[in-house]
Amino acid sequence: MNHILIFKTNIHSPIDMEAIAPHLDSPHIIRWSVDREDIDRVLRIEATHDASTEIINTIQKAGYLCEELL
Amino acid sequence: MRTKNENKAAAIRENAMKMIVAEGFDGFSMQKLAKSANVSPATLYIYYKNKEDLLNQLFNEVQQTFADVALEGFNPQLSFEEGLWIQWKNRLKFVLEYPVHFSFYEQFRNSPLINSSGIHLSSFKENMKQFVINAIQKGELKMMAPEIFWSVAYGSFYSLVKFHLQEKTMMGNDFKLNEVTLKTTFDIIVKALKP
Repeated sequence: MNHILIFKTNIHSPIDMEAIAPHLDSPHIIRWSVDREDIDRVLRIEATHDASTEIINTIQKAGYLCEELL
Repeated sequence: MRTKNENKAAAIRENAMKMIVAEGFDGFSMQKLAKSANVSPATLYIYYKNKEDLLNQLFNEVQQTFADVALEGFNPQLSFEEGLWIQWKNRLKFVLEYPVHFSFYEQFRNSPLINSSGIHLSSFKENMKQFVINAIQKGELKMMAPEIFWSVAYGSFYSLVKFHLQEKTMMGNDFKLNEVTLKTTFDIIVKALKP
């Protein structure tokens, strides 16, 4: 079964989406989406393994807030 | 890492429908749902990508439940009168057993959400279409436009259902739908539809 990883972010505009897209282009990531209407701008990732730490680092390096959503 | 859990998923769906029936689509948000279902927002996102995804999945499931109930003991080869009566009985059963589903279903169908690409057309419609075609071919039903057929065959039924759910008629009288009222109406409708 795939791992579903959920993060709170500040990815908001279509430009933000474009900016993070290349960073999520990985063979481990099956699909991803951002709920841009939600207050937590929830990034949802279906991945082949639990790559949470990796993803948080990558998104933060790209200049966005990214933390585990509790 | 979080895992899916069917009981939790069912509780989320039930809560979502209740909230939407009570407050409408505009007041609905993932955050509010999380609070009312007593789960964390993160849990909701395990199951759904966003609000739209949640609403579409809910509708598809409700539609499937409706189809399952409506098609119990039914097949398109039945005589027109028997088949239509089973439809009335089954649809009433759905409304009575799943009142929240029914309200949600009606609300959704009357909103622009129904045009979303995430909505599946149910096989139920194909069954109903075949039933009507068979009835016309067997000479048990007058030839007429589908809209006219539906209005006559089900319009009165859903009016009675509405009175029942509101517990009042258009005159403001108390009302409870019973089998006698249902059958009396049904007999009038069948007479009108026969060639």
